[in-house]
Amino acid sequence: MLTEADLLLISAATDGPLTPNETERLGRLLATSPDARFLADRLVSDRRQLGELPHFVTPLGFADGVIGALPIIVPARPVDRPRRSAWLPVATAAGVLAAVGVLTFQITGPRRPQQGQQGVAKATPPARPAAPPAGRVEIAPSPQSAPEPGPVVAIAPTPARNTEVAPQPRSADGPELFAAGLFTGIEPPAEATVQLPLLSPLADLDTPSVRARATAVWATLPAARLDLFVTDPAATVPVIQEAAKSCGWAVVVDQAAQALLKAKQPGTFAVYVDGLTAADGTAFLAALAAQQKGGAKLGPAHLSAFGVADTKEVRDLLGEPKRAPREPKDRSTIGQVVKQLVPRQPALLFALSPAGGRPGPASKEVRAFADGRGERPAGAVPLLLVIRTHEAN
Amino acid sequence: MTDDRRLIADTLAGRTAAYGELVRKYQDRVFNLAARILGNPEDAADAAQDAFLHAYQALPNFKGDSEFFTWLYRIAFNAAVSQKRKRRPVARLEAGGDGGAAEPADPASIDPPPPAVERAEETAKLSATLARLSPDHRAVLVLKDIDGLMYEEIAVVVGVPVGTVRSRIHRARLELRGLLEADG
Repeated sequence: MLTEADLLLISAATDGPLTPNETERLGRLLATSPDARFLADRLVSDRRQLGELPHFVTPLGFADGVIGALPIIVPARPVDRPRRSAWLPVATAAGVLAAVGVLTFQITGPRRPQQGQQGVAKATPPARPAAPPAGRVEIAPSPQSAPEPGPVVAIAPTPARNTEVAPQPRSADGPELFAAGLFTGIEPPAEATVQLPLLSPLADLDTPSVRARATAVWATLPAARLDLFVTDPAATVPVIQEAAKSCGWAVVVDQAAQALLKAKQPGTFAVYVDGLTAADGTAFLAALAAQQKGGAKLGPAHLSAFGVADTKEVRDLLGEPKRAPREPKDRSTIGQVVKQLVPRQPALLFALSPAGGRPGPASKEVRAFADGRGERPAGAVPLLLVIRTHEAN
Repeated sequence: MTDDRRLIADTLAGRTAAYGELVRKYQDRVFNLAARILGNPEDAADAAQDAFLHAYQALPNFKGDSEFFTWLYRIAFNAAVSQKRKRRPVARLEAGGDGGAAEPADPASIDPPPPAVERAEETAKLSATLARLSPDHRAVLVLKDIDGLMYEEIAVVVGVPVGTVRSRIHRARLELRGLLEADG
């Protein structure tokens, strides 16, 4: 008769290696017990048959049904919040204690001498007349009938005989209010992950380490936002266009942005590119750095992930996402070669502010940009480049 | 960046089509898991759909500590278990309509999947017996022997320590064998 331990040992042997002791025990069991051998044989057979069970067939159109039922909102990557659950009660308690301390000090602490009390008493206007009886409407006297205020005589207050002075600071012999006891029971977090944005002068993009870091940061972003801080955004746009051109981008300028640029109006401009790899993105940053070295006035560039507002911004700009149309394939060799030689990355330049200059999906240029987009290459992410002044933070 | 991670990034960037690729990639495994946990494919479609929708909404919270598939499988497992819980009271109400004691549904009456190989009777019997296992045992056995997950992955999906997974699997094998022998 097999014991519970024997049964579990045989079952365990079905799944994988045993310890040397267990192996030895199993060997003895199988050698002496036909029941054990039969069970081991059946368990192995069961396992094999389970693995050979036919699969259920997923209903036709299942994936389409799921896609059709997806909420229209884009799931946005949330900002990592600090672990505050353990600290929140402590902070609340500290705040309450502080409030109680301040109140106690105000109520029971030394009072300041009330300077000018007599003078104030002299200058105090007469007491407001009693409220009119219910149901009676009292009309305020006209300004002409108001009695002229008499000259106010300021009388200097007599010095108080017993002037109270502030108490001496208490000695710190005892435990301090906020440093002792309150936080002792709280374990500091074992691990905290802080993702810092990349904030670097553009000129440093020549440095291999900064460039490598920019590439690494870019590779982690589901969608990139690059804030470029400049003194004059409108004057910087041609610099951006030049850098974009050197990277093979075909920049389409929205009509409203064109008008703003022509009128040299202040504003915030943006360039949207649908799919850049980390290498493409860093190359663009390097092109900006080259422009800066050529004399262009550019400030720091701040590379970060898309926020919810950015997602909405792009959604408002381009409309609901549609399946990107596949470009007709030119299967000829020459066509393929030309395509490889002249890569064109469509980009859209538009005005973010003033609000009136912001285009929508109906804009001719936006539609041209949207139609010109192809399938996003593997590893590529969208980029929203915002050209802004320091003051627009 | 793996293919899954690229698709996740694209999804988070607003490309619904990328999530469609993820759905197509894993729909068979998720659907089969739900069907095995629930015991029938009809309810499995709802559970699998719930799982994919829930995963879509929770996608920003996917930290990448585990493989996307393991994470998705955990959601699918929970969706199937939740679906099974939802189904149970309905069965009781129907059974209690005549005033008699509620009888649990006979799992053996659940239609097995259409046999596609030889020894169809054995396969059907094994499927039916698997459906009669206790939920905890059935889940780990499906994940181990049918899906081929490792102990560590099963632990993530089911949400119990690896040691518990091992012992559950061992006991599940014995329970399955006992039921098969009891049925002759």
